[in-house]
Amino acid sequence: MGALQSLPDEPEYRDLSEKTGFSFEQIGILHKRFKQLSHNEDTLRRDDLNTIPDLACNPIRTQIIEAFFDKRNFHQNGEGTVQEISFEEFLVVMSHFRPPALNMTEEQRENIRREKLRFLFNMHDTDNDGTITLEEYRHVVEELLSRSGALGKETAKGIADAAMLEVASISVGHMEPDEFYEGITFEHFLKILKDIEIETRMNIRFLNMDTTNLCNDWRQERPQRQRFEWLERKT
Amino acid sequence: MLLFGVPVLLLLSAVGKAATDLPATEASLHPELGLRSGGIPGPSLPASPTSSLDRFQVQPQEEYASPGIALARSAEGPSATTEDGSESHRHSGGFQMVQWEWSYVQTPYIIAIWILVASVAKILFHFSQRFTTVVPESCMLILLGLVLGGIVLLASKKQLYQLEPGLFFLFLLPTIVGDAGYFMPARLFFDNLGTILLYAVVGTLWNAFCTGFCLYGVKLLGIIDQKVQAGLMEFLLFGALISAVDPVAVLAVFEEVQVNETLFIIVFGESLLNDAVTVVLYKVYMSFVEVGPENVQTADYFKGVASFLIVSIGGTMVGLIFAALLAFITRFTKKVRIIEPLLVFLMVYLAYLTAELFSLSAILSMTFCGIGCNKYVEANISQKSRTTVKYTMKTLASIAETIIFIFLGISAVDKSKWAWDTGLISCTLIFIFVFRAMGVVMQTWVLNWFRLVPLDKIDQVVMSYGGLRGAVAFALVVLLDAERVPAKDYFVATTIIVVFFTVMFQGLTIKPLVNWLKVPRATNRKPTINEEIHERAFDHCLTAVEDIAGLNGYHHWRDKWEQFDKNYLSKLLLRKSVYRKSELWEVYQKINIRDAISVIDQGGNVLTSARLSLPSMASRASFPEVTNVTNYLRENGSGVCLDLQVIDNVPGAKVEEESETHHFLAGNLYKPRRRYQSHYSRHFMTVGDHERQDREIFQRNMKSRMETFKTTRHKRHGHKKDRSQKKRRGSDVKEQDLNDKPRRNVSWQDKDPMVVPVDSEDEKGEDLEPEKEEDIGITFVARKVPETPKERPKSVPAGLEVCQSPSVAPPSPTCGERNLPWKGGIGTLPVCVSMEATKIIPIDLQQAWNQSISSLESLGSPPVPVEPLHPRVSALSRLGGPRPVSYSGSGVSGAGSGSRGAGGGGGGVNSGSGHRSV
Repeated sequence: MGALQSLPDEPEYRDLSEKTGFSFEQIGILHKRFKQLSHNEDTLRRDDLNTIPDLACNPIRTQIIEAFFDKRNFHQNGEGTVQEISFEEFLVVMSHFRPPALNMTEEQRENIRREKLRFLFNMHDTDNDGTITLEEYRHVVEELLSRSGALGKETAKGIADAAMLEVASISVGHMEPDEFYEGITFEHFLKILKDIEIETRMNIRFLNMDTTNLCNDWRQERPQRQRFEWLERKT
Repeated sequence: MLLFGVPVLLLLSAVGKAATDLPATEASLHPELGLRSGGIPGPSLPASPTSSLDRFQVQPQEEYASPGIALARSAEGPSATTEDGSESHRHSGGFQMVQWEWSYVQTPYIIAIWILVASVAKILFHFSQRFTTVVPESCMLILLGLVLGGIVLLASKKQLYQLEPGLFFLFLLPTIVGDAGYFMPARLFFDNLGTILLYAVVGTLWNAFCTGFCLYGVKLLGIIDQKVQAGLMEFLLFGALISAVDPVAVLAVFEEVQVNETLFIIVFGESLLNDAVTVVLYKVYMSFVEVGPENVQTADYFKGVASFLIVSIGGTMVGLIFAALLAFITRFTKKVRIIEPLLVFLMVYLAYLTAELFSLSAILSMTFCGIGCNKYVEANISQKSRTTVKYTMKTLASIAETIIFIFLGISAVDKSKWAWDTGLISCTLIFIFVFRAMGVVMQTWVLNWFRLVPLDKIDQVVMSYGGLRGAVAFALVVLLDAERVPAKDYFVATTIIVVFFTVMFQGLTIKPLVNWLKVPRATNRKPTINEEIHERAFDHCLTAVEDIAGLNGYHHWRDKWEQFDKNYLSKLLLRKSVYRKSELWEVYQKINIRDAISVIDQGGNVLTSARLSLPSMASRASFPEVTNVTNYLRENGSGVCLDLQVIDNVPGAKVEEESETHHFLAGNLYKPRRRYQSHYSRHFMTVGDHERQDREIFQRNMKSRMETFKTTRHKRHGHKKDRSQKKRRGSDVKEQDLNDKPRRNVSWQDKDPMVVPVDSEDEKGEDLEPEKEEDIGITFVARKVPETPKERPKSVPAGLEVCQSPSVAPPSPTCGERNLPWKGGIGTLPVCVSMEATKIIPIDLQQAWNQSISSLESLGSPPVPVEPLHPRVSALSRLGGPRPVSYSGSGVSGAGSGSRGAGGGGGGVNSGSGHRSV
């Protein structure tokens, strides 16, 4: 279908492939998806992601979407957020979820692990000060529990507090009464999650082949105008 | 143990003579069994290997006269002529003072003795720690069985006891499968379902065909003796039954090896799910053998395939239906908690039997029933029932496993069933091993294209090596009809050798192998709160990214399923009260309980209020009321428990500390006022126990809160409160000043809500929920409340309101005070109001509170002189006295002191009480 039409030049793909580790096919598919989401624009905005129907019931939707617009996840040294992202940035963010290669050295594994955890950490550390503060943590838990309605808020607070305490006791250990725990730093974050094999779990299988039926539900939910747009592209 | 076993067996053998006709009975049954298995698919096929019901359909006729023990006897078998003996005995003379009623009790007696032998054997094995780490239990049990079998053989010249298919399939196997299914780590299982299915179906087929064909080829080559009269069909049949990996053996061996979860679930899942394949292959070949290979038509092969689909899908469906039924029934057991465990056992067992009834795959049915119902049932039934179910299942499974292995050993001794052929045996051993390895490697190669986490070489080695054969194969081969399959005796011998070899040799060597290969081991620990939070976050994160990437992948569908489950299934299958909370309830309650435990432990032991360390035996003995909580935790704390048999694995590192705690608590804390109540009702558990526990904890909480209250209320203490509140406001202001910098201190306010909102939360929940569950962990603290006359019901929302806006007003203590006085004044709890409460060291979270108060005070004014109540107290409180306090720091101190251990705990508590006594 529209894939061929929207294919950029080969060298560009090669460039992207080197940067992100995706195969050409995967890039092609993701590119198509990108076009879909952005309504054939070159850049993607928050609203484009916000309107994905499947995402609507995801409790941490906003955080994920923010992550896509967070400069820290672009493998550059920037900070802050952007209003719209290009396909390349989209790919780079996606590449955090790429499954690792089959054979890795211990060092590589550790790097991948750090990278993936960094992504998660950044997702929770919304103000980008290097620590997940209690407020931020509460926010995360609250969102996780947001499906449960009114009961969630108080509970979330309790849980977040307990969790924070736990972090404090794990990472700092002995605490003098006059000490206080600032928040979860990245090092502590690594520490508390050291038992979770994130490098093998935070992965998504990016398909090599085209699955056209993906767009179906998307198409149904689009407004009429956009559907036409899409059909036009298709033909 | 042998000392025990020998007289028992002699006893048995004396009586067992009567039962010598049993093999004959059995043999006469088999033709019928064979005949009826003529057709291929369809429910009219009784010859399924797992449907050995026939034996029991017929047996009752023989045992007509003694219906009372018919059931028991069907489990044990050898007692067909019981009745005559006892009859003659009874009428032999006049009145006898003491009668020898052996024949009357014989069958149940023998069963009980067998189980006793098995249990004692188990106990004895575990005496020697060093020994059991090297030799797997299953090996030892088989050896024991061999010895016992030898003794019986010597004593009676005839093997009386052996593993009978009926006993095995109807009673022993279900207990093990039921346990495995019910406690199956569902998430892990479904995460790897594709892999498991491939191994179970393709792998088993591959093994069966290759082994069968190659054995036939070897036969043609003349390596197998001519006496083994078997054609292609017979060898394929044999291949089918010998190729299936056995759940019992795998469980027994892998449990001790403790490989990582993924590896375990793949091998174990395969062993469970390949049942359908084995059943169908066995049936198909049996029927082919019946009609003769030359009469087999092409259509029959397709029927075989269709049969496979019916057997596997049908079995699964039966299981799921029963799971739904069970979950639905447990919704309504609120008033009759006592039958909950029974319901669980019954329905799961019925799922098995029903599948057998329609000759579907019973193992599949039971497994899926267990997996399916677990979530809902666990949520519905009471805490006690959960524990009961767990213990009973584990007990039964463990005993069944023991008996199976002992019987395997015993059966092997019986020479009459044997026909040794070295060629056949060695070829079979080689083939099953080689083909298993080949199959695993090939399938893994294919799978690794799709798996996100590829299975590496080491995994493949362990998987190949872990292909253990066991009692299922043995039971199937014994079920063979000697007339149709002339080589049955050879097959039996080969199967026994194969089972022994795999269980004993591979079972013995797999542990060193795993060590040598450095296979990642399972970590049998409870997930921390953070891990739980982040795991949840991952799941959503992955789903979201999949959605954004437009991939309908695994996470997408899992999320869809969860939505469906939440919107429809849970609504239908969960109690209303549970359903409303279901989303967060587990996490929430877990944390509540962890808190509570840590609160209790604060008495001097581990203060880590969040990071949980379970009290080990010592402290449990000293705290009757903790037991519930601990059990609850142990049950619910672990997402994955590989060790399907071992129930508790309490890390008992701090024994010394524990005992110290014990003394400390025994000396300083309340004494449980035990009220022994006799239980009159058989249908309702008396709540006395819970009530006492409730009351204890409740009182303790109330006391501590009363303290807080008093400090504010009574004027002589009041000034402190005021000051501290002022201080707090001051610090609030300070905080607002710092508002440009986000608040990132874990302040005491942030801590304290852990107590108070918890309560208010529960109250709220309770208001919504009229249902009262009498035993549900630690939450009873709050649950107690609504029962009491609500003198000022209005104050609940008020308290809540305050609680919810912690930054506006000095919230949590006030909230507590508002709520608690009237709570404390409730008539049933007179102790709370009495002044002697001051002498009791509160071990509630108030410790944190007190500490923060005292530190707050020391900030504004010279530290309040502490009147030591206890020598140790003064030292400790002085320690914490003149500290440079920051408002926010003090909060953590209470909580953070968690890591300080025993001394810190005591100090915290005591400093609190000390300041109160001023």
